[in-house]
Amino acid sequence: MLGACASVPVDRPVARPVPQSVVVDGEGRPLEEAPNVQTYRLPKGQVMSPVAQGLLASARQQVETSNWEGAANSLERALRIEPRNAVLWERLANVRYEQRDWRQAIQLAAKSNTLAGTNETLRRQNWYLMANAYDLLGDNEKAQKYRDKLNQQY
Amino acid sequence: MPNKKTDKSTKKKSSSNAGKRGRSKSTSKVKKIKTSVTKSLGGAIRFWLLRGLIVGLFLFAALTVYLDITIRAQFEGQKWALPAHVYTRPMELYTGQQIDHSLVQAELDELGYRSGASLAGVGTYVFSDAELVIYQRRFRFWDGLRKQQKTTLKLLQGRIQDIQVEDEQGQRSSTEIVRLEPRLFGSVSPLSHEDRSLLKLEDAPKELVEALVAIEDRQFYSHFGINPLGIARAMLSNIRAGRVVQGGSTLTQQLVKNYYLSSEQTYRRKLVEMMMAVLLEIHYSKDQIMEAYLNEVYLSQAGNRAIHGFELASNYFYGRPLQELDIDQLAMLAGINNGPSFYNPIRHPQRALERRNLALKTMLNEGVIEESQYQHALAQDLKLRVSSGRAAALSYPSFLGFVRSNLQDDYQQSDLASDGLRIYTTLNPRIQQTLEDTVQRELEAIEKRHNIESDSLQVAAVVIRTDNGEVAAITGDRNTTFSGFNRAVTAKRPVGSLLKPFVYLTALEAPQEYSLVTSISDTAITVQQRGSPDWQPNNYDGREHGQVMLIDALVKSYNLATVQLGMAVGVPNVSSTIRRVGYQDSFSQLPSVLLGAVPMSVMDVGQLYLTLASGGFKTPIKGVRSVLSNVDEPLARYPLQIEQVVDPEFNTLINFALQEVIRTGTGRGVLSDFRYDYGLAGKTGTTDDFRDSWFAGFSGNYLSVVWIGRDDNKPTGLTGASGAAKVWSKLMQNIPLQPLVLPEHEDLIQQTVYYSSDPQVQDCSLSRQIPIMLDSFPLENLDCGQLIEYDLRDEDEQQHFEDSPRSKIYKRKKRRSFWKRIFG
Repeated sequence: MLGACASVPVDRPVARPVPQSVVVDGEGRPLEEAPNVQTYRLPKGQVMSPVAQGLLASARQQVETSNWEGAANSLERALRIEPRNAVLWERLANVRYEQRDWRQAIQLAAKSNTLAGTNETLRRQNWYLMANAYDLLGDNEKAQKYRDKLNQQY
Repeated sequence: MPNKKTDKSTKKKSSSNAGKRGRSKSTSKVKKIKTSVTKSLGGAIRFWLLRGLIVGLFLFAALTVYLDITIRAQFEGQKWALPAHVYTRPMELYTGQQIDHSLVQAELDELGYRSGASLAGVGTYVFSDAELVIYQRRFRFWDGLRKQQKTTLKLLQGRIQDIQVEDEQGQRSSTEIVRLEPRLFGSVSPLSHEDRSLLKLEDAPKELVEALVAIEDRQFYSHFGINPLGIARAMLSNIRAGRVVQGGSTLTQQLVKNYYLSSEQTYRRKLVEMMMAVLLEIHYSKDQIMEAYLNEVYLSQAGNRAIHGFELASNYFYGRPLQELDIDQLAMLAGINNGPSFYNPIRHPQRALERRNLALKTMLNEGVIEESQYQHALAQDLKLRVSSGRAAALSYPSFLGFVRSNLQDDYQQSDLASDGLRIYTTLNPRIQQTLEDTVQRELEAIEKRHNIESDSLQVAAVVIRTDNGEVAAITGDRNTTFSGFNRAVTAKRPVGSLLKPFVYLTALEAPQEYSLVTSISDTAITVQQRGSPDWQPNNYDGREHGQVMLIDALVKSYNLATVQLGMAVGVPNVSSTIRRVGYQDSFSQLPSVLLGAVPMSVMDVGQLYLTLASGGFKTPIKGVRSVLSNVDEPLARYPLQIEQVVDPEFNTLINFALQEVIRTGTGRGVLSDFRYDYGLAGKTGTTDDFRDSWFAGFSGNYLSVVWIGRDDNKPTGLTGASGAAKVWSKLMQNIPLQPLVLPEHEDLIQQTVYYSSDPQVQDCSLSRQIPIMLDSFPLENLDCGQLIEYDLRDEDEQQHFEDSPRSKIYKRKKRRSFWKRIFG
């Protein structure tokens, strides 16, 4: 298993076993054998379920054709399945940012950060987006606050 | 020709006039006079009759024009007069998902899919332990058309391993996610209670069209709207029978009659109907008329909803689209068309069966079907689906009412009534079912347990997704099929202690002044209110508890401590918190707000608690995801919108306290039947004299609010814990929950706090873990504060012992200096 992983280049998507966590959209029932149903935690090496990956890929294609609402729709669909997936929130923030909905972009990035855990890269991406969005809104003070955060770490 | 006729009648009239006069007078003199009188009279009559005829003709022409305009407007308008159709959410199936066989089956069943040993065309499925194969129907989703396809889901121990899709051309592909189509469950039509959907002629089964022609109007394709021969034949048989047995109406006439549905059968009406039928035929083709007929004709009544058109009738009686019906089913629909209530297959199955068989016979005689088809169809029973009997139960009136009020904010009444919109909602039928079952069962149980008069309690409840505010289920009545007063949206009742968390939140948002462990006073207080008598609140147990930890005052729902705290932080500040987290209506600013003297609906409470449940982000509660026009054009999407209104760390403090409510406080009863610890958070609410029993609470993924009380507002004797909490508990047990995980924050640490079992003794023998803001340190106002160990290790030092992210935040970090934070 380890050997197989090592031979695969890092940036290519790796087929991973389906995570043991159960993520349901109200369509399943609590499992007998899984008393501690774990919600998604995103450690540094991203683990994402195939379904989230699939919907993320759809969203990416929709973004390429500037189909913003379509992309938002795909991401919201993925979020219904994995509401605690910080990456999905961050992608949605980016879609709103592209749509020049700066305020909503900031809120979504903030939400992403509350779920990002120790994913420093993701947090920094969100701060970066927030700093830029606040700049575009003309709120220099807030923009500076997030720029400071970017400078403060590392 | 008309002239001749006039002459004749004039003569006839004048002679009869003369006859009358002649009786009173006699002799030839009279005769002479008579002729001259006749002459002049005849002239006058002729003159007036001519004039009358012209006026009559003119009036007739005017009437024709009027009828023409009316019927054309009706005909043209008809296709626009479609009510908005309302759909449930689509069930999503994806790899990695643990599916429950019975839930998926229930969903497919309600969608009218038939189960079998092998796929038998569109709308069938095969379900085994190893795989689920579905021949899916075509469906227009908001984000695109899904053509019909064969979907194979490989299962392993109930989990979806792999999904393969085969399209109509036999092309196979694999995917991670598929969805079942949503189910049409109602219509929004503010103007009337008629329900219809638009069926295109080319989509209608040809056997149905041919059957209708064979049964109702064999000359349909050759007549000009009316069929004189048919009328003559009908009259003859009516005379023979001595009563009206045949109408002789053409399909066109029947269509006109349906436009102005009335049972009145006068000759004048009949005449107008015939004129309109002829006019329709002048303007429109046979196909257009047939299409209108298929959509317009009245076929049944479901409660206060009139079922118009064969498409809806098919869904109503068979739970399937018209295209999927068998010959015998089509024959029944074509047959009962003649007398929808007389032949109602649900109430009069025998009549309907005989009628169907007669229709089949006619179809055979007219060559619509062949002998073998006839024999096969004849052998079938009515094959009505159970779902038709349950149609009322599956129409979710409370949810529909909520959707209607949602949309009325965004759409004009006329748009809703007239555009045939397709509305995709957030309703999850599986959770709705659970809610309805639970409410019915638990209310009876509570009445029995507390010796309450049976059927006297009422209920309102809502289930909301915590991450996006989507409403999964609503009920506004214990009789869940009742479509009257929708308590979930409309009934506003005082919420009692449900507002307490917002008093405490207001305090905790000043971390230098308050923390969860701050001592506050639970002692008697008299509050002066402007314009009202002095207010002296009491505790539920009638006692004072002295100095208590802030968290305990909330967990045990102490009124005195809450009022003391609320007065200290200021009622206007508390009110503004309540508004900030999501309550929009105006409410009194009196101190009684602190104890929840604000009337709210379960929706209002849901909005407030949703902010807490979603980590401090306010998310508008919504029942609609998207709207499509009747030509499949995406009109609107209700996007996920969030706004951070409470800082996550303060939100976590309150959620921790609300978890404690369920672990050890007034809500602890709800846990008794839970198998797993989902970290549930919640709050009870009880109002004066036990008039209202409330419970609001959430897991990681679902928030539910339940109210129980009486419509006459009399006391029920129930507290939040003994009433609403019971329903809440049973409800949440049957919803697939995810645990509530409180997020980590750099400014928040988990601290061991010491306290005493008896405040008088002060032995500090007990300890517990409580999250505390760094800004709240040092905890000098704590009785056992001297026992707290402060960990002042430097952050840099800690990095040598980089441990799991979870334990990291529970250690106290030394804050970096202001300059260090800016310049790194």
